[in-house]
Amino acid sequence: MARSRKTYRRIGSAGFSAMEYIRLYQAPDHLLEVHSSGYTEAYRRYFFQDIQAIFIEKTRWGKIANVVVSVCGAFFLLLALVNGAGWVAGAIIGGFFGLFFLINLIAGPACAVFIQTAVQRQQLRPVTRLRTARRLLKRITPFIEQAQGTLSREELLGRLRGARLMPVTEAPVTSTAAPVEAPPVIDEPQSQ
Amino acid sequence: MPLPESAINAGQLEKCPACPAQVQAVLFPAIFRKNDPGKAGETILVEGEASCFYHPQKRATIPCASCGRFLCSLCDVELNGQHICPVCLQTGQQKGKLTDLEQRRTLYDSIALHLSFLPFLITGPAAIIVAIYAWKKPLSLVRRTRIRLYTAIILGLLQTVGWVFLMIKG
Repeated sequence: MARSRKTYRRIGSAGFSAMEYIRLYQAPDHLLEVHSSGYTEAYRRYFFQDIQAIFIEKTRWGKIANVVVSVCGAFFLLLALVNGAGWVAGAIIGGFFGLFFLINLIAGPACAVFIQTAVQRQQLRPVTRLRTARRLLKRITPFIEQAQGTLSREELLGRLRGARLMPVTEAPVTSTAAPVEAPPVIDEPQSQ
Repeated sequence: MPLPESAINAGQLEKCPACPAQVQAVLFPAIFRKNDPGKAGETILVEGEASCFYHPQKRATIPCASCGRFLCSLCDVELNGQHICPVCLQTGQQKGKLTDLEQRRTLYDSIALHLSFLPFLITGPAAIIVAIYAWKKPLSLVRRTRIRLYTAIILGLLQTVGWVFLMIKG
């Protein structure tokens, strides 16, 4: 019953939440999101045959981080220039913010990626950059197409238009199940 | 408000009609797939037909790949191309034999390693005990080497020897 070992390939960098860090891996038939707290790991799997859609939303977090970091860096560099005695410490702290600014700039625009299946829509937290998101798409699309088959864009849009025009069907009101019998009445014992 | 068609499978970001965000959608054929309503199992009509182990009135359709019991369509659970019964599925999940159903693992190797870093009297032996206990336990799904266990045992031994040496000297 045990399955053969799977090879997991890491995708993207790590994402963070309050008490855990999250990594994303690719297996031959699914994506694996690993939530790690250091001593335990929780797994979430997205099988390629079940993935309905992937949404990429460009966010402003990269720009906001750049503004915050550049303001902080400029403040410390200014402090270093004004304050003659502590200029080394100011320059080091300012340089640290400058480095973070550069890394953020090189990483490119930030984004949020959502993956949708028939039962859920989840954000892939490890994918936070547009470049990584596009790389992820490029890497997993052939696997998804292999699992689900391919539809051209025109075919897909045609079917989507059809689905949007289709009236929403109401749930059946009547049930075909046999009516449940009432439970038998138990006579209370007569107190003597 | 639906997404504009120019944002669907076009390979580029488009402005969302409802908010200022730029979005891109990639849809796959599974979005049009209808959910399988499931099968109830067929009732036995002819006497002598093989019946389901769990539902004697239902016709057996397939044997369980794990225990060999005959199963009706209702009891047949398909997982990774194998047909197994619900009991084997539950047992496999509880014992950690079905890797695809595992949702959580304890990383004993990390616990042992971190214990071996702590410079207290009991942490050295504790690291060795945890490492030995964890030797046959499954490691992380994505990190398969036992390097942490080896390191924990070596550091734990060194720490224990160090403490013994200090106590003898002191």
